[in-house]
Amino acid sequence: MFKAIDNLKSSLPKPLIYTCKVVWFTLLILAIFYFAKRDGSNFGYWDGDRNPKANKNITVDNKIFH
Amino acid sequence: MTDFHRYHLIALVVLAVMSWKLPRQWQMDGVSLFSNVFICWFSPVAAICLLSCTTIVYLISRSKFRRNLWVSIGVIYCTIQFLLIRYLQTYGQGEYFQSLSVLGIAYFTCRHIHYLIEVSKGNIMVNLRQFWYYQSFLPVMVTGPINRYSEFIHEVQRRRWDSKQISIGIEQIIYGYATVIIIGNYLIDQKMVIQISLFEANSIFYGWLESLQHWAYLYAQFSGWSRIAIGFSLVMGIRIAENFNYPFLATSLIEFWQRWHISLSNWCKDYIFAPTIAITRKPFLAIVVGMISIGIWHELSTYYLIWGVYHAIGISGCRLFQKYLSTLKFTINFKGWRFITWLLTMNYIICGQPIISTIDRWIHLYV
Repeated sequence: MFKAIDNLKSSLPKPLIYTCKVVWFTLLILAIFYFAKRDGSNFGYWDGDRNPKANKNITVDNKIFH
Repeated sequence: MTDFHRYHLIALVVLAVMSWKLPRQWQMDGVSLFSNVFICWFSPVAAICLLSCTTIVYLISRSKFRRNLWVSIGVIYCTIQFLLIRYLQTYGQGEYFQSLSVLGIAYFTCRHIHYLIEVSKGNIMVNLRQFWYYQSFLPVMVTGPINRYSEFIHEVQRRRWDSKQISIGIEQIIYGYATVIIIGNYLIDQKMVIQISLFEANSIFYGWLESLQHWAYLYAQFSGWSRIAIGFSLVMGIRIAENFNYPFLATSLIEFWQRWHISLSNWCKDYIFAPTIAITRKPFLAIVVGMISIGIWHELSTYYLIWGVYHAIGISGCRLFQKYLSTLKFTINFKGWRFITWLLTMNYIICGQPIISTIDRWIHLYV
């Protein structure tokens, strides 16, 4: 499948590929900012759903940022 | 985004600019200094731990007299400091300890131990400036991967402006943030949770789904942050090895741990598993010690002790089964076999969380 995608990519004109890439990454960045803003502080992992002692308001996540 | 994540992102962008805009001979010094300032600002305890460990490890690495003894003392010092912090984080009383965050201690402890052992083996030429670069590289400092000294220094020495590499790095950063925010926080932590809550609570299937959600979320978060770290490193001209290789495609538990958090698994293999085997000649004991170490690396608690034993049993079971098949001189070679082994592996991993939680609760109730 990956080979087929590579073949398709190489058969397309380069400006079209660059345009698609620019559009794709712009949409992705917009989506990231949209969801990051929407979800507020819910960014890290766990935030104390298993450890009852964990403080939900901590700004640095102990679990992912070991 | 929390304040910390916002500042972390800003700091990494500033670092990326600094790493190319400063005079050539000061670029890595600037990056290391800025990384240290960032750590001091956000986690003074981490800065103190990092400074004490780095100083001791460097002094030991310079010593010529009774080097092996000093290396052992250095490894013990790093380990005790790490365990003490983990203990305070888990069992410490008071609000201070509950919110105590020692940024990157799990990663820099592993890096220090790696450095000490490699110096004692004679594989590393001691150089203060390079050691400082290695210990103060913000992209991998707080979220991993646990990169190796020789590879890192080789990359620092050969780094040059490469627009293709930088563009790949930017792509990795965007994909990393998309994995964390869109897939991890939105799809898995919000949408999937809502779908799961439609099922009957406390049923076996509900527990299984909850565990599946937990692993998927963990994977999205961990792999996302690793991608961000690797991406920013690439933008700075430094290649860092991949940390995840589609772990949920693994067809055995051994393969899973070769694909999940690769840098930690390799570190554990080199500095815990291999020495334990060399001393005891007991591979199964080495597996148990290795997996318990990985468990404690995450958190100093009974949950993670059981977690280590659970995965050690799984890996040992896989090993025994593979050994048994090899003695039969018989290879299973039909199309569905890979699917069956994949299904068994994934279910062993997913079912682990409810099983471990239950045992942990029993221990807390009756012990």
